[in-house]
Amino acid sequence: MSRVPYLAGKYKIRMAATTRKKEQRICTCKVLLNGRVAPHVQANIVKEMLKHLMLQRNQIPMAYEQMKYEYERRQCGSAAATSRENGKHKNQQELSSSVYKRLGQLITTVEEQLANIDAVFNLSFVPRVLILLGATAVSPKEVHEIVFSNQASVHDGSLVDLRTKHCVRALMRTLIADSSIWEAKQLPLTNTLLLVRAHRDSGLTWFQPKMSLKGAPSRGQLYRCEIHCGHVENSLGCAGDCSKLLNGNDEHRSDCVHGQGNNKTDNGQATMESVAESDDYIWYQAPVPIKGVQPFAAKAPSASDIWA
Amino acid sequence: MNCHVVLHKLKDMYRVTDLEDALPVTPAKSVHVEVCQNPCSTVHRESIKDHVTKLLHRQRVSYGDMNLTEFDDPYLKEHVKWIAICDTELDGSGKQAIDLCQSELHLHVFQLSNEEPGMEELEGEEMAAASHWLLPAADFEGIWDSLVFDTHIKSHLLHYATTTLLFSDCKVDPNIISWNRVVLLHGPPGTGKTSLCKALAQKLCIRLSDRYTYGQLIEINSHSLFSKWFSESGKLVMKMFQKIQELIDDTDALVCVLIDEVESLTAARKSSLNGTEPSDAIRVVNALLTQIDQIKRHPNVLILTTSNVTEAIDLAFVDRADIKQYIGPPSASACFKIYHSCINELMRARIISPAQQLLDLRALEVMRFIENDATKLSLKLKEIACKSEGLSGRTLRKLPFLAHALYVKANPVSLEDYLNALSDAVDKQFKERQQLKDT
Repeated sequence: MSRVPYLAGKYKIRMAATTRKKEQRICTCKVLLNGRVAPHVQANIVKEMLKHLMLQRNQIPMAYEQMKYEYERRQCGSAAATSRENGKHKNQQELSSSVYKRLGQLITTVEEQLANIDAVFNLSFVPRVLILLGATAVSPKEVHEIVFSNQASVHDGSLVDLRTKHCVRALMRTLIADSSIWEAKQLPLTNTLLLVRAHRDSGLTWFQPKMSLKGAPSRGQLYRCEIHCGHVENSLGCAGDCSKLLNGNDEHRSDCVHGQGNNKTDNGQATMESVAESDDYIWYQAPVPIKGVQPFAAKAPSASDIWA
Repeated sequence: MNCHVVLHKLKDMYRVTDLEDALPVTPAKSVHVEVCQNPCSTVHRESIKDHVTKLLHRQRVSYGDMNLTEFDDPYLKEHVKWIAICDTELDGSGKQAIDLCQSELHLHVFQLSNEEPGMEELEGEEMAAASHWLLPAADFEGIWDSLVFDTHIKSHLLHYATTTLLFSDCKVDPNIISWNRVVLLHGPPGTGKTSLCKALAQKLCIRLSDRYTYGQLIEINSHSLFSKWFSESGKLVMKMFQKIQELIDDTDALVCVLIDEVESLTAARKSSLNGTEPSDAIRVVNALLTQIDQIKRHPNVLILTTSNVTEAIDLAFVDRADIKQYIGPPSASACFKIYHSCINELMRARIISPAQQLLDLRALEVMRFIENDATKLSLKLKEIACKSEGLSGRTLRKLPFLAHALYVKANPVSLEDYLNALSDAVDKQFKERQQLKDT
């Protein structure tokens, strides 16, 4: 009988360990933009983020713009010209026509999505954007969430207008210096899905409403990128110029920092955020997923290759 | 004593204010109404429900099942694709008039997802281990209605699923009353087992759309769970179920796991003990059985399995199945229904022209099967249906195609010529079967 409590205890410990494993770990990084971020600039931020993620997560062989340039140049018949940028000597290899076709499809899909991102930001406030990597919207391998906070500041006349270049630079600096995505292991080729949260009555036609989706999917690792617009000192309690970023150590504490910040925010922001969380804002999904292409995927030698 | 006094006395006796109240209450019939919202509509479900209820109350009576695709209400025109009053005939009572104002209407509003199925890959494996649909899916639209069974298989399965959920909701102790959430459909090939599984998953997601925000169907690719590495196969099964577990963890989702041709995963262990079968196959069965026991604790999961070769399935698995439903080849009346729907479809597509009314079996029965101008063609079809008894559902659905391909020369064809062609096609089918047997 004396063994029973011991066994029960052991079982409990094991259960706790498995449930803890299931909890989704959230990695947050922040971009502070001290000024007015117009909707079209917000759209550009999302577009750059999408391009960056496709490259970073191994879904396209080189930076998107470069790839597009190469593709168009080849299509113009100047395939003989060599490219030496960034030491990408591998792209001199002859692409098979099927890969070439797939690259073309990818570029068409991405261009369509980029154009429609602009359209969404014109029509509605977009408090959140999701970029999912995985087969379907409910079972992604990775979730990247872009959260715009204090979007109401766009009506604040006292703020300085920020230019796209400036904002994107701040974003890239954060993504490269602060994001924990670099520690994650590489993904296999999969689909990239774009979802935006917009108003029910915004009249979006290209995006398809996904009313069954409530929040970010609980499956897969969640990377959140918070973009603070307007008075940064208001929302975070720390003064600083717009490009000043939190250092890496703060990254893991960012959730609690944000929590404190919320208490200090003015009423305008609070109402805006509660509106954005309300029932009137729903998720819209881009109708076509972006299918990753990796023409020169270096296949790791598997055990069967050695034994064959 | 006059009537008035009697009433008064009754009132005093039973303390009722109205004599009508003293009558036994007939329970309101519950009617399920499925409302398919347009894919691009963003309005609240509640407001759609209001409009549909008003529409149905205006309609007043439905005679059996009913499908509505055209609406006068501009709101419904904009936001609703179709409305269907369905499954009123499942209990076998046939068509009955339903008073829509009096019955209890259960409205299920849903939007179809038209995404391609996703592939679930396991680490280090090249082949996808499972395909993965978001339900309700556009791919499975209409399968449920196209399946014709004689006995009450469909209603049994629906009731089984609702009871499962009811027991989970009421927190019935699974140690006292145990149910395994496993359904096994078996029978000869081509009788609609796999289709029924898919349709059932779709149906449940629609019926339970208030409770679960979405559903998922995971079709396990059994062949991908066997590894070329000895002793790895059991682990692959484990990995697969870990992925499924991740999906089940989302309590807003109803997860249906479909294992087609389940005998490949649960081959009887007994037969492999003395044979040449490697012990790895035994490990797969063991892993599957323990994993099923693991996931049955969750209220939002259902495991649907099909098999052709029931003798080859491990007994421990068969024992775990709550429902072991045999699905046989369709009877003559089911054949008639299948042909009837096929010919209606051909008339809709204007391949058979001019369109003519074909009577259903019940109408023929009312007419006592007497041949006249109105019943002639329907009786001919009945004759063909009787002749086709023994053919599988899959064959029946392709025969209208074969009949056109082999015996019809004209386009469009008249119904009479087409029925002759169909009759010839049935004969040919039996002849081919005989030849196959002889060789």
